[in-house]
Order: sequence, then C-alpha cells, then structure tokens
Amino acid sequence: MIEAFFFYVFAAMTVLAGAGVVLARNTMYSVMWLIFCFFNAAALFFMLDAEFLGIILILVYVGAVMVLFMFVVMMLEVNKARLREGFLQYLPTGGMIALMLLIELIGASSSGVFDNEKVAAVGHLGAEVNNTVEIGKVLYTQYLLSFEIAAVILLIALVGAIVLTLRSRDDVKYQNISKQVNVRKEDRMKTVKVKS
Amino acid sequence: MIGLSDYLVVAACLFSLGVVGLFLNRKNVITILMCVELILLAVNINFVAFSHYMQDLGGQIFVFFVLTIAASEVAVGLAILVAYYRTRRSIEVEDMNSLQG
Amino acid sequence: MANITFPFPYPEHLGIMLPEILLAVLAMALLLWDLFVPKEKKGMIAWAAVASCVVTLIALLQLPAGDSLHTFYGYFVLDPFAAYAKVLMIAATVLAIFLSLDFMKDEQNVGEYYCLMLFALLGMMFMVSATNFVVMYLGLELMALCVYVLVAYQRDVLRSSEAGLKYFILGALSSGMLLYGLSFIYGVTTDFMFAGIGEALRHVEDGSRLAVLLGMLFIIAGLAFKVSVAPFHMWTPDTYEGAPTPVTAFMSVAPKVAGFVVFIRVLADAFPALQTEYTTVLSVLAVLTIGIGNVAAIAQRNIKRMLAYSTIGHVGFMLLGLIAATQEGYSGAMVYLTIYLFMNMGAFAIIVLMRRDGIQGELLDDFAGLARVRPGYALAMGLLLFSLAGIPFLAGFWAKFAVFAAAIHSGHIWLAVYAIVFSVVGCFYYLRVVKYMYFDKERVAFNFIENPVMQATVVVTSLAVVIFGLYPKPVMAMCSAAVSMF
Repeated sequence: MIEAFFFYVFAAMTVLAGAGVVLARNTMYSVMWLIFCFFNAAALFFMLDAEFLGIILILVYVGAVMVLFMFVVMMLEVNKARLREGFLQYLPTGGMIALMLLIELIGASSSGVFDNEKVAAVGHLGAEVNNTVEIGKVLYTQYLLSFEIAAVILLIALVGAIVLTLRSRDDVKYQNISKQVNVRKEDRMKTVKVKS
Repeated sequence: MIGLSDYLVVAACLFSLGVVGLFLNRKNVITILMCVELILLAVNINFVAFSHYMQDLGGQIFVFFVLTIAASEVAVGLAILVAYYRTRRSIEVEDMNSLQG
Repeated sequence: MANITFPFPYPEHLGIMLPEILLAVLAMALLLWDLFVPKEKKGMIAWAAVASCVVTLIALLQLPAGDSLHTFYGYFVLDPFAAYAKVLMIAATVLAIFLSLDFMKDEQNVGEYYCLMLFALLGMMFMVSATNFVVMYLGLELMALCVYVLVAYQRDVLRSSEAGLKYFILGALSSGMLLYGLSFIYGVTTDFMFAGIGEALRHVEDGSRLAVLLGMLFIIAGLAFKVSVAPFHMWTPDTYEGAPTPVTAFMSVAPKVAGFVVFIRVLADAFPALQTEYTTVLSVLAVLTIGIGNVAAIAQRNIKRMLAYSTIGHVGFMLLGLIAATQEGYSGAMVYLTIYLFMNMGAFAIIVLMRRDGIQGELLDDFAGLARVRPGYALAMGLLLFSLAGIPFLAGFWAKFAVFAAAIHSGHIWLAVYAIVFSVVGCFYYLRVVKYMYFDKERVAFNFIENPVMQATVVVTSLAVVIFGLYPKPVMAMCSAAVSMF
C-alpha cells in the first residue's frame, strides 16, 4: 500500500517535471525541471531494486551532465523573450502527434506480457542482494566488450569536445621559464662597433 | 499493487513529452537537447522496469551504457553548440538557415 | 564473494579481434604522437593513419575466413559477411584520408582529425561484428560521435558547425527512438542477442504483438535514419553540404556500409518472424526514398547537395535487396555498396580537386567547360557520373541489375518497375553535369589542387568503375560468398 502511494507520488512528479521542461519560459527553469525530473526518476529506480543506477543517475546525470547544461545556458545568453514565438503555431501538429504516440505507447505498455495480472506479483529482492555487486559480476564478464567500447566512446567525447572548443590564441604572452633560464649572453647582447 | 505496465505508462508519458517538446520548442536548441534527454530517461525507466519484472540484469546493464553514452553525447553536442554560437551569435532554430539548396 | 572467478576470454578467441585491437591501439598512439610532431611536419600523421589502416587490413586478411568465429561470450563474431564489410570500410577510410590531404593543410588539430576517422572506423568495425544490440548500439554511437565532430570540424565556418548541429540533434533523436523500440523488444524477449530475439519472437503470444510491432518500427526508424532513408533523410542534404568535402565523402560511404550490414543482420536474425510486416514497412520506405532522392536531386544547384539526394536515391535502390530478404537480395545490396563506394569516392575526389578561391568547386556551374581545361578530369567525372546513373557496361549498371533482379525473383515486380522508372529519371541530373562539362563555356578561371595522391585516387576509382563494369563476376562472387550464411 505504502509502495503504491510512493509510486504515484514519484511518478506524478516525474511527469510533471517533464512537462515543466517543455513548457518553462526560461531555459534555466527548464534545466531545473529536468534536474527535478531526474531525482524523481532515481526514486523510481530505487523502487525497482536498481539502487546502483539510481545513485549513478543522481551523481553522474545531475552532478555532471546537468551542470554542464547549466554552464552552457549561462554562457550563451539566450534571448528568452523571443523564444516563445511560434509556440501556439506548432501546438496543434505537435500535440496531435504526441497524443497519438501516447495512446499507442500506453496501449503497447499495458498489453500482452506486460499486463498487470501477469507480472505484478514480482517481489522485492532482500537486503542480502547487493545490486552493485550483481551488476559488477556481469559487467566485467559477459559485457566486458561493451564496457571497453564505452571507454573508447568516453575518450572520443573528450577529444571531440576539446577539438571543437579549445582555442590556442597566438596573441597571449606566456612566460617560458626554461627559455628565460637558458638564455645566454650572446642571445640578447650584441656588441656594436660604432664609428666615432 | 504496482505492476510493470504502470512504470511503462510513466515512461510513455515522458517519451511523448519529449516528442511534443521537440515540436513546440522550435526556437531554442538547448531545450531540444533537453527533450532528447527526456526521451532517453523514458528509455531508461522502461529498461529498469523490464529488468526488475523479468528478473534479468541485462536491462540494468544496458541503462548503464545508455547513461554513459548520453553523457558523452551531451559533451559533444554542447561543444558543437558552442562552436556554432561563436560564429552565429544565436542558438535559435530559425536562424539555422545558412544551408539551403 | 571472495572467490569471484576471473573468466577473461581465452587468447585464441581473442585473436579474431586482432584488427580492432590493433586499430584502437594505433589510433590512440597516433593521438599521443601528434603532440610531439612539429607543426610543419603534420603531413606525416595522415600517412601514419593510412599505415594504421593498412596494418588493420593485413591483420584482418590473415584471419581464417569462411566460417563464423565468436569471442567475448558470443558478443563479437567474425564471419565472411563482417570481414567483407570491414575490408570495404577500411578502403573507404583510406580513400577519405587521401582526399583530406590538401584540406588539412590549412586546418588546426590535424592529428585529432585523422584519429577521429580511425575511431569512426573502429566503431563501424564493431557494428558489423555485433551479434547483439548492446555492442551494435555502442559501435553505432562510437561511429556517430566521431562523425558529428568531423562534420563540425571547421568550427569557424558557419556552414560546417550548423551542419554538425543539425546532424547531431537528429542523430541523438534517432538513437532515442532506436532505444525506445529496443526496450520493448527486450521487454518481450528478455534478450539482446539477435539470434535469441529471433527465436523468442517466433512464439510470442498474440497480446504482445502491438508491443513487438511498435518496437520493431522504432528500431527500423532509428536504423533508417543512419542510412538516410526517407522520411528520415532530412539531415542528409544539409549535412553533406555543410561538412568539409572529404568528410562528406567519408560519411556518404563508410557509415552506409556499416548501417546496411547491421540492418541486414537485425532483419534477418532478429525479426525473421515478422517478415511480412517489415517487408511492408520497408516497401513504403523504399518507394518514398527512391522518389524523393531522384526527384529532389533535379532541383539542386550545389553538387554536394545533388550528390546527397543521389545518395538517398541509391540507398532506396539498396533497400530493394533487403526487401527481397533472400541471399540474392543481400548479396545484391553488398554489390551495390561496393560499387557505390568507388563511384561516390571518385566523384567527391574530383569535387575536392576543383577547389576554387579557397572554396571547393561546389556549384554545378563551376563544372562548365571542364572538358576544355582538364579533359582527364572531365573524362573521369563523366565515367563516374555515367556509372552513378546506371548506364550499361559501367559498374553502376551491374549494381542496379543485382538488386533489381533480386527484387523480381522474390516477387516484388511492381517495386522493381518503379525503381527502374526512377533510375531513368535519375539519369537526367547526372547527365546535366556531363553537359555542363562538355558543352558549356568556362565561366570562372579554374584553380585546381595539384596533389599526386588525390589525382591517383581519381584514376583508381574511375578505373575501378570501368573494370567492374567489364568484369562484374568477381565482385558478385565475393558478395555472394560473404552473405552465404543467410
């Protein structure tokens, strides 16, 4: 009973926050709503016995990815006054497509093998099952290849982001200590014979 | 009792919200990226719910990879966005018109 | 908990991954080495990248070909199909590096450029060797992330970064759709392996049919985006136009090979139980793709945009092979991809060579009078365009012949007729370029790049088109050997 209560609270807040992302006027508010959405989704993950992913979602997603979003929003002064133009213009098309999609997806989600009567009975795992250990056991064996590819992808993200944004400026004057120390008298001084 | 389909319906709502956001926010590229994040979150909820109700860890592992890749995608995407902003001085979708036949 | 065993894959199994391992190590080494190469010697990096590709190719060719070998718990497979696709992709990467030689002279971050190309190749090699959706998705994303960055590589040029941004947004959306569909398939089958899913879907109860169909549709949509099938093609013209031309050449060929191989594997291994459904879906997509590609190309004034629509048209023809869903059809699609690789790379090589006032020759008008100034280039371009149009006794004709024959043999006659009609329509815009080259007066002074390697690329590709056209047998035999396990 109490589980159902918490499910409805978190589910409602997740969806509400999702709507907030789409409808917020200010881009910064959208980011905030998305963060709230992730927190609630993490709570849903906890209720599904996926503690590791719930924590990862908060640490990595909220802690790193969303902060990156915020950073970019603040860096690129978005002109918020002009942003809402065209909202009503696209509402009928977008709304229709999304509504049809929603009906279809809900239909698919509550049919056949996913029907409540067939799978609702699964209980929770006991405290003796450590989700992180279980994930580790398959991640480093069965999914080792995927893990390695993911590592390469992270490297590529790093390289790509640097390539696109790093600018080495030629007009900045650096102090090159070793050059300063290694300088010899002949480099700097020239003896000039002046005819008198 | 809360069943699998309840979680799937939450995910379906998030997915549709993400799609509707793509249509409505034709102005701002960052919001579009956030809508993509909503879609990925819906995917993750789906996978975790299946993983729990089917008693199979594969779904959770997949979510782990989706999170990794979504993070890399955001890094690259925002880098492209910043590069674009530097030359265009705007991130409005309607200003993306230098490429037309 | 203390006695968790350490079951790393055995070395003899690991051996079949040698090309990938070598490529990953060499690409990372290149990334480091780049730091120590002085600015005026950056040209060496391109040759190091070519050498890495050659080493990978040699490692690939010495592996036992002919049977399917698995490693990493069956997550990675080496079979003739994967090996053949890898050879094609390595060839495409080497050609794309050759085309980049001149472009990279004026750019910064030379080392990273070639590394990203090698890593994209690595991602594609994992894609074609994937036996399950996890490795496939990761390979796909590795390739896609590299290509996003490569498209936006000229970060100070508005068109390049805008193309990158558009490609990125639509790409991220398409992988979201792919994943959402995949989650439903996973929910029904509790499996990620293609073969396991295929087996489980054979006896799925009727109630789950909606979920399965929805999942399949989303997966097809996600993959269709990657190979630019209409109506998921919107990114293609803009991205092709805005990206640096060597990158356009690369992405018009190599990811298409990988995408089609994955498409074939997914359809043939994971969804054989849904063949009637996916045939219908793909037929609709093929009709749209062939129509849009060939008609929209006529209206283009920019040759890169024109070739983008031409790519869409060719992808539509390749889809016929998948719709046939027979060994002949898959082999036809591979023949098409092989020949298309050379035709497209050659055409882009000439566009790169026609650099004019700092911008590559991009408008169709720029080709006016080429025959008078450079008869060699005009001849090569003419051959390549005739081949793209499918004029008999050039390679492109046999490519079309292979897929059309497969479609007719599998009973899709009206689809084949439709495709033939539109391939005739398509001749028009290819021949228009030939007309510009041979019958129009020169308008602006030409300013060619004189680079022997790039000129050699043109010679090799146009010779390949002629030779394949006269002796199509070897290519066809190789392709039907590659798909023999379906």
